[in-house]
Amino acid sequence: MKQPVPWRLLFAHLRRSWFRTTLTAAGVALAIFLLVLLQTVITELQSGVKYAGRSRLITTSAVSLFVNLPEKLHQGIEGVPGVVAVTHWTWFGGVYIDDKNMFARFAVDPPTMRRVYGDLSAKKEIVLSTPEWEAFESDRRGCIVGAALARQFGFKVGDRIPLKGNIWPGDYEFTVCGVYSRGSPQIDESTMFFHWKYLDETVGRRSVVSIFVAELDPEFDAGRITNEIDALFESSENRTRTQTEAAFNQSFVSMWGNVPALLGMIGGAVLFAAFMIALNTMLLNARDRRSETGVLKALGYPDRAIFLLNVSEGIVVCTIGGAAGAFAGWFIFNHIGVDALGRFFPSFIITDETFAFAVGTSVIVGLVAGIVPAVILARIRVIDALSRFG
Amino acid sequence: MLIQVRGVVKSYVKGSETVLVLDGVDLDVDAGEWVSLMGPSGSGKTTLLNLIGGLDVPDSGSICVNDDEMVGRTNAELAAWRSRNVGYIFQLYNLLPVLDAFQNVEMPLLLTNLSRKERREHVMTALDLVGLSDRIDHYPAQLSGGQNQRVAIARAIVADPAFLLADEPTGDLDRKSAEDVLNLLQDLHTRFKKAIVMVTHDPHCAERADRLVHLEKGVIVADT
Repeated sequence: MKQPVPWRLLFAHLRRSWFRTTLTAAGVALAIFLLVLLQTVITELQSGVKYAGRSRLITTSAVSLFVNLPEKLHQGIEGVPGVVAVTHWTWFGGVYIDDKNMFARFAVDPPTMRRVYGDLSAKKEIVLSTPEWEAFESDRRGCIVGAALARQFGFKVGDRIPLKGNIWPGDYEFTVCGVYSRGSPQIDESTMFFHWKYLDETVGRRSVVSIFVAELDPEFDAGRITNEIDALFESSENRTRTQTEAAFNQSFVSMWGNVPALLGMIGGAVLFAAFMIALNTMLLNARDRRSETGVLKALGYPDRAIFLLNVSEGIVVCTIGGAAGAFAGWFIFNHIGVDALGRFFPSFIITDETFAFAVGTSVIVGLVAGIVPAVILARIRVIDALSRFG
Repeated sequence: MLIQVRGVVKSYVKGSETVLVLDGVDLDVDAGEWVSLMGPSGSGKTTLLNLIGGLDVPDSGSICVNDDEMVGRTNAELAAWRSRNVGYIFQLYNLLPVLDAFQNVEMPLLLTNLSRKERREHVMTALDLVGLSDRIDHYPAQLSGGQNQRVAIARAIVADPAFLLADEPTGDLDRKSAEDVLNLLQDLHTRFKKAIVMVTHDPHCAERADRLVHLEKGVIVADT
């Protein structure tokens, strides 16, 4: 004796109550869309930590990130055993035509940057062709821009970019030598990099930088090297604070305070709303199907089949809604793009993990929402169910 | 003996009150026999029908079908037994409104090991017997009351059950449709020797049966 689930009833019910089904799926779709959005914001906030290099150290002033260090410390750091390359970044600020044109600008040392991040490194986190790297290195007034930034302002190789300094006073003009893309999620594609030497000459050779980045030999103990670097400058007027890249990036995430937790709570509330929508629909369905359930039982369908039929309806409706919401998010953010978000999160991308999380969550919402009415119908006595018929 | 009911007692709790519906009922139904259960409302005839069909369980007593005891079986066992042995015909047809006539009639066969082709043959035979082979894709809402009841009869007989249970099968029909349904039941009874236990209020309807059993206040008062 077979004990199949009458699946034809599942699809017949969905078709018959299509308006209710559509509204419920749309409610779940909206909730999952918002969940995808919030989850991606959290992922973006934490991506710098997640993808940070494990064998890379950041050295800043022990006083504050906003206090510069002498460029000459470069040699000292490079001399520590286990350090294979050192480069430095200097926050520039400045204005491009108008104050509202905000994007990050850093003065860097192109040859060492290439060794740490570029085509001469193992990780190749900044993707730029060799001719573009060489052009950048050789042109003291050259710069490279990220692909997102190039799209935003229409920059292309050969263009001139004027900047007015504020932290570093002066009028600057750069030639675009290349447009880079990222080889790692932690690289921001909306940043501009230019020669530190050009900056240094313009401001009268102050010879200071914001941070040093030290690439380590993975064989060496990063903790020991951290201590050795800071020990080098312990007694000088330029005391340093060295930490791993992950810890450094985490300090930026910490600046957001409890924002990720808050977003998580909002996501949970949205999810709960979706669950209530689905549960309400499933309970209404259960009320409508009480008599039909009596007929099915009278015909010989077992309680297990009744349970599976009804719990499956919740899963199907929520999964369709959830997949639609996740797909809408993926399509809008990954293919169309949203300018408002792009200013805060230049690489706002729905990851495969987030997509799978959203669809998986909608399956669970459907399962949980479907269980209660399914149990009610599976346990109802045949004569009680039939007594309501008509 | 097809059905043997012995000393069946059944009561229901209504609020704080316990209502005794059947009080030690004995009933035998032979294979191929058509029995009508009559009696006033609340006499226990539908309850007895439900107990015979395994839709409910008695407080005490014994119900044997083909020498198999029904009392004491689990819900799952009773469900499996119903699907093999019982064909139900309800007063309000109880067709599934989201399925067409063919699909409604096919529902009991989904519990069997028949192939799709075999199921189709069985369904078409049953619908042909009730004269509705040209309405297979009609939904219940598109059929008249008499046609719906005939679809319900087709569903009841499609799996070739041991007996049919009919609870006021003509109660919701006009005189002409009621007569058609009774003729159909008579035909099934005569041609296929199906045992039928039928609850009815209508003496004209009850006359079609081989036997008339009269219940009052939960006991059989006449068996003719």
